[in-house]
Amino acid sequence: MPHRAFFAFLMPSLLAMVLFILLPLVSVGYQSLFSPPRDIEVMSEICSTNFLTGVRSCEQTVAIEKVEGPNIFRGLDFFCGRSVLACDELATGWAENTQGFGHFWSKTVLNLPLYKAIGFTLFYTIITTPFILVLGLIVALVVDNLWRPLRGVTIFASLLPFIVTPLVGSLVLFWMTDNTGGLLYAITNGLAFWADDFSLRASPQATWAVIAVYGVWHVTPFAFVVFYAGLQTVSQDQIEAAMIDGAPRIDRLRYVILPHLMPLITFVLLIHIMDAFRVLEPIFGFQAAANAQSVSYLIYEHLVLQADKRYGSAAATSVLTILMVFILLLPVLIRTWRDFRVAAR
Amino acid sequence: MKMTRIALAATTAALFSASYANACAVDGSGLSILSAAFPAVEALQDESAACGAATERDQEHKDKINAALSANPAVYNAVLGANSTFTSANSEGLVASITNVPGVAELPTSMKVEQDGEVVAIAVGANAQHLMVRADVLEATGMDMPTSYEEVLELADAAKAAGLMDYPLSGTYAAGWNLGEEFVNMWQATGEPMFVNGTEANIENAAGIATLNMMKELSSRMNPDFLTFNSDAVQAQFEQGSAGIANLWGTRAQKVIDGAAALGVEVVMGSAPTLGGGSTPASTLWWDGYFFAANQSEEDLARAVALAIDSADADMLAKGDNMSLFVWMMDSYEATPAAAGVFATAGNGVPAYPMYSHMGKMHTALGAELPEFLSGQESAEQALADVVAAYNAALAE
Repeated sequence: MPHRAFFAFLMPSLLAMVLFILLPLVSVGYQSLFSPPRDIEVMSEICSTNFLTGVRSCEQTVAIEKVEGPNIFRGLDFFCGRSVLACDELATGWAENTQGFGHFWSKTVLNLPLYKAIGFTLFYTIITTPFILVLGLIVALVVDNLWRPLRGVTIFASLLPFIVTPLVGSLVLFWMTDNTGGLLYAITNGLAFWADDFSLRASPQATWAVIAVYGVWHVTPFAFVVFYAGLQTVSQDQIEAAMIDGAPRIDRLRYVILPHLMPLITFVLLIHIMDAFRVLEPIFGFQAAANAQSVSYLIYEHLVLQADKRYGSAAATSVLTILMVFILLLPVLIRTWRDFRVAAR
Repeated sequence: MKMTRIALAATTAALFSASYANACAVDGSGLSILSAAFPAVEALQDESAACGAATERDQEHKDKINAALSANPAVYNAVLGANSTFTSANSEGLVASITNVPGVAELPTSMKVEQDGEVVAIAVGANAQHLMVRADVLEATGMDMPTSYEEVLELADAAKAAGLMDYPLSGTYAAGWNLGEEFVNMWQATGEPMFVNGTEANIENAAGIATLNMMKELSSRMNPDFLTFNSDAVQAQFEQGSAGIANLWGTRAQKVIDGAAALGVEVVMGSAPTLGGGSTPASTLWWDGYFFAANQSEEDLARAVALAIDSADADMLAKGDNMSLFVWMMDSYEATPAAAGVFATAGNGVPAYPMYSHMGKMHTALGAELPEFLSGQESAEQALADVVAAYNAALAE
């Protein structure tokens, strides 16, 4: 294809990528460094009257006078703020710490919102990934070996958790953890030998575990459907050749099917890591904000839950999220790049 | 009580007025009003819509208000909000003064919210968290309706000992806004100012510790999932019969009464309890009402105010079960049994929820930093220090 024609074909998607991906990224980067000028605070008095007693109560309050003007460069203010990287808090905590690194880690680092959130987000990402890959593969293999007339129904049923909206799916599981009669609660409480005050919602450990279970339940169908599609393209000749060579089922899986599925496994891995790192909905569905906050939840908190929007902190957290996703993906990306180089040679 | 103040003439006039159109003294065409979507405000919005105004009802309306009112002309002429949303819009200078608009001067004092002597909002209803206790809990324990939180603890222990329920006590302790509100409620009962020197936080003291300790005492008697309990959950526990004591919103009272009635029990509504021998109920008085966009023409503002006053009138109260939807502030309001708790709490001099522009930041910080204390992972001192640090960080931004 001549270069001109290639570019003509590519142009619309390039344009869309610049508009919808590059520009928002640049904008977020800008907002993490600049802010409008600070408002002037003026004192004023607000009064309301108790409707019953007729007592008027007045409060001195600070009203804000907007200042118009060009945006101000804030440097690393937002990145270093307590809600984001908390540079000062870390420095003070380290300087005042006399009880070793463990104490500093648990009392200072894990007491700060972003580090707490990164802890949970990493846990969720790292714990769910292997389960999703392995379970997805097992389900795909089982369905692939299923009696043909049953396959359609089974595929549909297995896909359901993925089709259900995350918020609704997590709500369903949340109700099952209710300690006045939820199914999941009854089962786990049974395993815990009917402990007093057992709860799946009260401790961080239980909350984290429940959300991870939800994550695996929700995303496994995605891995399954991708792997199942891959299984349909495995060369039957190779399988037959392996059988003639006397390879048992497990060896066929290991030496023929898995290498064939490898690119798809990488694909699912990439997508899931990106997805898992921006986990948000289950925290609402499970009312889990007390015990589990993800990085995305912090951004949401800055932008929506705050009475005054904290665009700076939200933008800085977003930039860090992008960086962290990139770092997490790096091994996979390097591997893909190497494979590509080998293939190109 | 306000029950005696029946504006009989007005009610009769409303009942016998010839047609709906006649009740519309104001032409609302071209006006638009934003509101939440709970029954009481919907009743008001229905009135305005009948007069030709465009009404938008959205439970997430708080996220739109400031952006919509910043436009010139503003997207909405009026917002039917609450003191929290009013404060947020007002601190940005988006709310019009309506002192000189015709009709405002004649409103009852309790409906006028004032800033620096200017009327800036029209309050139409009052809400507060107050004590709700199932009558059978009181009977089985032989105790009186508690008036202090210390008595609430005793009642909860006695009810549990009597084997009525596993966790008789409940409360809106969900992490986030609800938990922040519980702290503010309890704090008010200490009588200490929450801020000094303008915006400086004043909670790292004995009053802060006392507030947190009582919250911990209460939560230790609740179902261990208490950090997930919002108003819906607490109401559901009353309806299921799994809880019998809670300090819950007045707007939920009717639902709690109905739910308990289905179980064959009654619920006693009382004032929010006091703390540590004080006399101030541990609650906050909220108002819902109209405030108006600063960015609109004088004619539109006058019409919007007239429409708001016309919507919140005796006419509206007389329709359907509107009377029982709220503790209305209009003179023609007659209290229903569900309102008894809000009346008792207001009568005991509950303070209004603070209308400081920086209150939202404190509220968010409380809701985010207190769960670790209540779940036993942190000391009270550490939790308060974290709240102040989070608040200061928000303030600095």
